[in-house]
Amino acid sequence: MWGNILVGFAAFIAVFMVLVISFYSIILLISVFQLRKEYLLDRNQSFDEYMNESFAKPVSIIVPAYNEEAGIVASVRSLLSIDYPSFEIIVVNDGSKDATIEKMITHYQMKEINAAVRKQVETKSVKKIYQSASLPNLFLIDKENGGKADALNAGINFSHYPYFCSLDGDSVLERDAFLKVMKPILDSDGEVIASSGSIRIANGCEIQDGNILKVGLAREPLVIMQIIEYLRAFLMGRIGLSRHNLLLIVSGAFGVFSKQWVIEAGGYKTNTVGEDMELVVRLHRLIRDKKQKKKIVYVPDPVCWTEVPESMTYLRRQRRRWHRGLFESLWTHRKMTFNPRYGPIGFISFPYFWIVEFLGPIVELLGYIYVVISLFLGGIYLEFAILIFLLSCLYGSLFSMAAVLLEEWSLRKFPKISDLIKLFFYSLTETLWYRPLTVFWRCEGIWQLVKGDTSWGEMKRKGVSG
Amino acid sequence: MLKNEIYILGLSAAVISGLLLLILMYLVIRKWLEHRKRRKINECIETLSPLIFAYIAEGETSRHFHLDNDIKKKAAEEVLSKFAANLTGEEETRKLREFADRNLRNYFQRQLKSRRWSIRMNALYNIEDLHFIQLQPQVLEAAIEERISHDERVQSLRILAAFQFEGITDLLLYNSENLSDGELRNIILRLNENLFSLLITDFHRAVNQLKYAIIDAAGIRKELRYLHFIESVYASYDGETRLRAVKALSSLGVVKDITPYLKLRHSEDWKERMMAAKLFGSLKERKLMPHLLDLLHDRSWWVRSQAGQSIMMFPDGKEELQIVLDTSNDSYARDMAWEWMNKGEFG
Repeated sequence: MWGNILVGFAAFIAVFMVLVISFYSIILLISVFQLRKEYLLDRNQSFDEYMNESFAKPVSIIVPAYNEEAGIVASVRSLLSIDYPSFEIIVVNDGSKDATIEKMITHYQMKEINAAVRKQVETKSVKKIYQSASLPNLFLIDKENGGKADALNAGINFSHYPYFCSLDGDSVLERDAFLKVMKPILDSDGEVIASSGSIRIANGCEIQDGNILKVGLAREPLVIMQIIEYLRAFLMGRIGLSRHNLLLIVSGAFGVFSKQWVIEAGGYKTNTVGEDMELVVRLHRLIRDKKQKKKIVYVPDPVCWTEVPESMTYLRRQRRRWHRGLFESLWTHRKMTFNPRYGPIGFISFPYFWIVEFLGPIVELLGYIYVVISLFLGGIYLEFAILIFLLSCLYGSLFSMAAVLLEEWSLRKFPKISDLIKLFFYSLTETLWYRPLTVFWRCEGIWQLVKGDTSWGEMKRKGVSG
Repeated sequence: MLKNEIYILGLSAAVISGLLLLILMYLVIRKWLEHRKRRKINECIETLSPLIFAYIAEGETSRHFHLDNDIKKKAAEEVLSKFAANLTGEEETRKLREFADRNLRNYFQRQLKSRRWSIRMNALYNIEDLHFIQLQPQVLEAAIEERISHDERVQSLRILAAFQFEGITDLLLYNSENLSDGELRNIILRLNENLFSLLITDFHRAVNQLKYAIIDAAGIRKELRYLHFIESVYASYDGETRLRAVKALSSLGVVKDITPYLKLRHSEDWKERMMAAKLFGSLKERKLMPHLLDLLHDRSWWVRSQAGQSIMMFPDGKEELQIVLDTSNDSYARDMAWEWMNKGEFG
């Protein structure tokens, strides 16, 4: 009887993995075609005329900052040098406990102003608003601590322009990233209401004054694995989903939104840890409810460089938090799952996020446990264990290797041949250590959910743009 | 019982890994070759640059001009693009184009026929940069080709506009479905006065996107000869078309008679009230100030903000806003007055 259960269980895991692998394979194929089309395109040229376009829509860049004294000045400096005809930068100091605000005030000669703020979304109270005396398009909002979502909402209230971009205080944008991410919006006459770009990992790159001088690879295996993971997520997942307007995540680190739509959707939700996904789901919902033909797109090329955790402790916190955020969004909007009213979002995106992204780690963890147990049981169980292990190799390492190769085949951001080889062979080892680690952390996130733990878990920053 | 499955799966994992390894090898070799090719192109640019420059500046020809392989052609293309962006003299530009025509025409023609989308696109960009008018027939062919990508169609129309191709108005009228008004505006702004006037004559036949683009372009050109056209659009259309006309008028800064526009300030649509505020500000007529002060108390933030900005455009705008700040009962209006008065100080 126990034997039957164990065998049935193993078969379930195997079938689950085969399904997931098939889904990924389809998405990979879509991405391959999409990316290949643009291979070797001289992108710099294609954006030239938007610089002189007197109708280019101005953008408010909102930078929520909580304890970012290490990098905020350089981040703002990098933003000031972006190629875009018209923009304003709004740094929102979310009750930092360090010298974030003092650094901003002294470095950019911020003067207090008494601006009229239109309260369209509720936020914690704003203490003071500053404007730079030397750079009139740079503002600083000092408010009580309310979390990142609350800071973004305060920025939205204050912003003057119809489009806004949310940007993490510790990230560095490539100079023309803005033009590229805005292009779908400018070209589509408002049909595109949100657009996001790729996030790449800055650890290991040479950065000076907020500009990427040289793209490099970090030494820490943990960071290298995250680089691979990001490549895989962005190149494979998002391109495939974006192609059919199925995107549920626009990265919080770099995305442009139509302010009107975001306000209509109620702004960022403050009591969740995954405010960026939550917002996109609500936008999709709003689009469907209003029966409008609007799109949320992902542009693979524009690059925003950001720092990732280098130690196990912080990575573990981040992953637990991400997983809780994922659940909160899915749970809040659970009605959309398999709801014909929401079309492909309800029938493809939601089930995908529920089954593969949320529940996947549990199945995988059980798979690992099964593999270990069966080593002792031997016989038919061992055969199942080998089967599961092989499937997880396919699922983890092989897809990651393919993602690395896809990057080199199409976008080619890493200049050195040795970097390419290193990334390839690191991704080969994914199933052996990195994948089980992240699976375990994500399961911990589920456990925290069950316990009702809502902590954010502080992150430590070095400041990427030294 | 699972032996077979494991065997098949193990084999496929091995095969896929092997394939990936092969792809890796291919990509590594490709990267190495490309690095080498890039170095060669760079070297070629070093030698070609002064020679091409001498030719353009003084008409000196050199036997080194024999561009017999793709590396040299690519180098020449890059040098020419760089020069084209910086050249201003007519004689120099003529020589540059002559040079491009003599040496690169076949090269570009071949690229335009490439099976790869990105190569065709790059060729189109270069044709535009170099103002390669000899290739106009090929570009036209691309523009009317039915099975062409959206980006290629936009780019070829843009080139034809820049070349002042006479049939462009017909192409825009009948061959530009699915183009956004932004893209159309970009194209139209390149047209000379004659072609633009032709387009205005055909205005009533255009689809909405093209109509918007034509009105916008008329406003951006800031020429009084379009005043009559824009005013007639305002008089005979409604909705977005009418709004665009008001926007264009405020860009011109002139109207024949303000009366028909005054009613906009009571419109139900906040956008029309905002555009009224914009127009009044650009006209800067004293008698419009009371209306602007009314609009500063509007229920819509956008209207108030535009009214504040428009008031500041008057010579005594700041004083008027000060009065609002001191006397108004409406705290929103006071805030807005304060904001625009201080914007002047910093911005």
